[in-house]
Amino acid sequence: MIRSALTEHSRRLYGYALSLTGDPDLAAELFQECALRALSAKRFPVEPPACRAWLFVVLRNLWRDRLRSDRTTSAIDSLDVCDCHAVAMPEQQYLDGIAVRAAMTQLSPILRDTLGLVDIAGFRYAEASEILGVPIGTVMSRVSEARRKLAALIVQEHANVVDHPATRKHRA
Amino acid sequence: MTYKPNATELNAYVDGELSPPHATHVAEAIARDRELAREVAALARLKAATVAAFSAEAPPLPDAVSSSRGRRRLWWAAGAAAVGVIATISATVLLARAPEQTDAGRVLAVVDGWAMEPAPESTSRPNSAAARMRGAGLIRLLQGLSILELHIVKTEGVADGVTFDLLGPSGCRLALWAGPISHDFASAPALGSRIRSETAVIWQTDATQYLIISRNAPPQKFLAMAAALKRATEGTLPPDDSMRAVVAAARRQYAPCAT
Repeated sequence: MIRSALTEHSRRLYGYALSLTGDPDLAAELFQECALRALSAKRFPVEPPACRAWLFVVLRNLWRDRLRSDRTTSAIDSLDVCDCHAVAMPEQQYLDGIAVRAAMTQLSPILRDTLGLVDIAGFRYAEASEILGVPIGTVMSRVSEARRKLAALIVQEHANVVDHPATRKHRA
Repeated sequence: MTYKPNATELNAYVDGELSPPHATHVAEAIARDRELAREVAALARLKAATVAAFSAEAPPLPDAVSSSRGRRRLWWAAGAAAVGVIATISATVLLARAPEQTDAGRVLAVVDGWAMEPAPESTSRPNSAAARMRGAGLIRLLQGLSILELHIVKTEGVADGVTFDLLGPSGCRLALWAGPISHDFASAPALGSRIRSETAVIWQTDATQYLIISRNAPPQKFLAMAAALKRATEGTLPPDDSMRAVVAAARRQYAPCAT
């Protein structure tokens, strides 16, 4: 049963791992570790929604353990949230996978985690709030802040590319 | 005053997280304000791009060996391997010459000789020297080596016991000697403390004494591997997936061995 759940959610689990780590190899390791942990678990939720959430919690806890061992815990708990409108949104042509993944790695771990659960894992805010152990309002503000920063980072990266001397020369 | 939703509300609207009355309210505001409409469209594009950017084929799932049936298979496989080794070489053992003088210096001399050789690329089967170990001890040792992914590249009968040349997946090279408890390795100056040092660890089980020597592993990594092998030979290391996960995590934690 747990194997079929893992198979069903493997893409999203791996995507979530990729969003947390920012590194395909690390993400693959994290995914495998999560799968091993789940497959060797003696007890797990039977209901499909609870089982799905449990799998993501297992993966998330493994990642947090690793962050702790790397002594980067403070980064998990630090966050400055501003509830403001996006100052700049990237145009469609700049929203390629590489740009989004690169920008995601520059978000704080806690924003990556929240946006990963909502956008990549596909959890509702209520489910994400349970997994994260925070109120729904906090999830809402984190999602908003994560997207604002993500957009700004993509726009900034595009501006850097356009403003790069080599690009300017090419355009001239 | 005209209602204008804030960024959090717009994001929740894009995510379909607002209650129907609230969503209607926001939709009306968007219909009145082209700037808001553009912002919502951009948020929706960003969400779609995020989903697409992290939608990738996951690695294959690992084989489950955590069930009791799986564990039994693992034990049977290890047992069969050990029995096979013993059976294959038993004839040679009968012809083995009597042990000569036994001391840690001989072990060190052998592994020092090995250390001068380049690490072989492929593993080889243990030779007759492996049969000097008792069956149960050999099974537990092989399981410990398997969990640590340490390959036996060479064995040799040394000082009334067996010396294994071991090679790990990240280049760690170790020498493990297993033999009768009667040996007093403390007399070897290079080994220092009888309990443990950064380059050598000594322990014993009911019937066998073990000495493991690091050739190139960082001290903490070596001590972690030695501790795991010690538990394996004592029969207290669970040979299952959870242990493999712990080993994998430890491998990431420590630096690769020097080459």
